[in-house]
Amino acid sequence: MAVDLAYTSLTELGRLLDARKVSPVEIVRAALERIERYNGRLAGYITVCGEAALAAARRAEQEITGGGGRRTRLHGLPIAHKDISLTKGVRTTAHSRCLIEHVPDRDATHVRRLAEAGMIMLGKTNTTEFACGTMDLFGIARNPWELSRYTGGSSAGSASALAAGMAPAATGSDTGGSIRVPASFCGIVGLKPTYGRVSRYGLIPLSWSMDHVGPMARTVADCALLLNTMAGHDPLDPTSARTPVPDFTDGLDAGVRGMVLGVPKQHFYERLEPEVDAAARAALRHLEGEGARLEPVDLPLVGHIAGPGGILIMAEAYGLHARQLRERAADYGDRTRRRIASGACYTSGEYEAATRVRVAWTRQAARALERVDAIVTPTLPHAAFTVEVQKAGEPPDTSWGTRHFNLSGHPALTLPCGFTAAGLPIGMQLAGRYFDETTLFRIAHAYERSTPWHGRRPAVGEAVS
Amino acid sequence: MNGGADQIRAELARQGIAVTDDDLAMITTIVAANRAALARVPAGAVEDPEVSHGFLPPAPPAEPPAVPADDAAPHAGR
Repeated sequence: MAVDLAYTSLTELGRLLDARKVSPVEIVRAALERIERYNGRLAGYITVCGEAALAAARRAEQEITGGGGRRTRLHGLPIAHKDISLTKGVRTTAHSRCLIEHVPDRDATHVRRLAEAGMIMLGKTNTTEFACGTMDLFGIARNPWELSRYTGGSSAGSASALAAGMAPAATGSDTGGSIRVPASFCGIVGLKPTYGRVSRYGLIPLSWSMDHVGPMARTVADCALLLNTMAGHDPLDPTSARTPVPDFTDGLDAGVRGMVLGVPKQHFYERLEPEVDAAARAALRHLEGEGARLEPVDLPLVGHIAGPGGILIMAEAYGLHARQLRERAADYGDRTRRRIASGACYTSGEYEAATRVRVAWTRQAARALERVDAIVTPTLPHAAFTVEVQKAGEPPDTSWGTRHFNLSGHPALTLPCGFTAAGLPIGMQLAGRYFDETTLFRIAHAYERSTPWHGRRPAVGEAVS
Repeated sequence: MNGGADQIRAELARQGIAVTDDDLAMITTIVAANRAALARVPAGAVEDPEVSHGFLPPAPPAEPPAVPADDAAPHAGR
């Protein structure tokens, strides 16, 4: 058939399955062929579950064609999981020598829910070590738009796999921007949901108060579809919320007419690379053209979050890793070991002071979001930098625009809003009210359907004719 | 701990974490940067914590106590 299955959206693949125009086996094969062709140069996957995925696809095909049809909108569709989510019987390394032979005896809750919905796991995607270090052991994930460029971290392999057509859906985790940063660098869509919206049970933790699990995909609608299944209360995660889960795909087409979008006065539109600045302002004008009203919002603390955020994340990470650092320091990568060990050096007074800044910032953001439907920002002040820059010393602070909403717990989504002249993606971030992911999806979908960016394809290192 | 490299090495050693000189250099840089950033948060931007049961610490004395510092220490047992 003429459809390029590797770049067909999850939603459209579902329609094709419903119409019996394609089978789960064909969809999985298309992804595996891309993995076979490109994973060597991209290092998007740490572990590929080819045979198991094909066997699961054959079972799904029998279930679907056996008279029952698809039992959910995700049934028969493939997904890749970040290698920091526990997967029963499948090695889960967190890209660390500490866990090199770690085969869990259980699934993370989000992995289990997606599997119960009928999704087929393609494999485990690359991540920075324990979601905060480097990618030394299995190689550094490469950006399909330009192989010399970094993907961003830590959900690096998920973003790379999606952009390269090696998966139509993926999961990620986000402690300071680890879904949104690689999604922005690789030109795909990623959502950090509200804190408590998606269970973290079975996620190898970094920072208990800032870790989030969320969906990554090539379209907004696909992220909404995945969140439908990932979200919901989980008694195994004490921070999981009991808030009802709507159908996040409802109202996607409602547009932004009459909506009020907040544009921060501070930080987010300062000192941007010129091409990012132009793309971000063009995106604002586009949303205005679609009927939204732009409203400046005052966020005086927004430029003062990096230090307190760093203290809180690393103090919590050290709390989790202290024993292992004492016993197996040499099994950590240098940067991972040093970053986590830094968390041992703060006093309780500093942790308390950082927490007060966090509380004040959270109130500030929540007050702003009482007046606007969402806050719109660039996701990063620049496009993807090179792998060499990432490897050298301390690379640029990629959490520049994202960690704010880990500290506050608000949901935040990134989607492509343009490309640089060199062909690198630029991302726009939307942050919304607690448990109002629906509004973020609606705004993002209105932007996506009226712009061409999500339709572009990377060359993945091959000559473009 | 005021964050000097020697103090950080000592604190890490106290907690059983052995570090190389390169480790120490990077850890010291990270800690110093985060502390400096925390110190730059504008005064007044962060509210005092709300204490649910109404207790507030007594205000400090307007003048320093008229006793030598050692004698004023809580353990002096005067």
